[in-house]
Amino acid sequence: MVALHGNMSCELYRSAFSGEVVFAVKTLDGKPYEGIAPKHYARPVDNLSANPIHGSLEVRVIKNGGKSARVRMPDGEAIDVPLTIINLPNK
Amino acid sequence: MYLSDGDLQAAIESGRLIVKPPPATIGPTSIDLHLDSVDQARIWDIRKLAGDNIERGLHELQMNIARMNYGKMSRKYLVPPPHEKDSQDTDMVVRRDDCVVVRPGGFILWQTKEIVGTPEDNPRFICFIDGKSTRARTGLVVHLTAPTIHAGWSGNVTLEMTNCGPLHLVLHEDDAVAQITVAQITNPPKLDVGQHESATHGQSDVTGAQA
Repeated sequence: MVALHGNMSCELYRSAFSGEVVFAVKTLDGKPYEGIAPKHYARPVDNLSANPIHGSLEVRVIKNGGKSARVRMPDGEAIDVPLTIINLPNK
Repeated sequence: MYLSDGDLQAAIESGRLIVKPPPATIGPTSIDLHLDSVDQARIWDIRKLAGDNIERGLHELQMNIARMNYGKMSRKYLVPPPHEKDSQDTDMVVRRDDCVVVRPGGFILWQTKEIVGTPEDNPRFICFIDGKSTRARTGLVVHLTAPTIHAGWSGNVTLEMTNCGPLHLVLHEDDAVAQITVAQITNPPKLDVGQHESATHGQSDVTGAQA
């Protein structure tokens, strides 16, 4: 299977740098993961602050099946997440 | 193969190479990158980090680099450098009006003005961040490691700069401190199933400065 473009529901924070955001998700086993991504991968990016807002992050879905998906994120890492937080085109 | 000036120009114009804003000039085989606004300079707030670590019973400057949540750490501990008039003698990086002074041994993060990279779909290039030799002779290291902008990624580059020399280095917005070279890859990455281990595979709880 070739990786698909998808959007991952997440929380977004303002980053230390204006060109990026901090995103936060819970992995499949419930652990928190926070990474950084250039702004154009995230929505929405207006009015980000130290408090989280609900948003989404463009990811590459490299594996899915059952109730989970493995996604590669803009920070270069790959994590396993619940499939429920992934929005795939034509899903 | 590395792209030379004409091919760099063509790649930018066709959208296969992203450099925004587009460069005013292109070198024989490289494109200069410039520092963003001085407000984009950041240092680690080691006093706060040390205090939090001590509260947790850890060594004051400990950071388990492979187990931390970088996003959370950056939110909590990346701060603008103190203004020179408010600084202490132990501050290695200080703000001075419209510039930043990096004293010997100082370490600073600063994003580039340019957004650099390649489009996500069908990327054909990989970029390498490097310093510039004239700047390096002052002791300025502009990219400690991980110089590669992988195919399919684009964004402002965060430069990891340190002063390895004996001088107090003064940095301003728009200073050309880095450059990229661009190489053509054999094929766009396929990103097939099974080629990517999960970052949390086998990971135990985060230790050290958890933030």
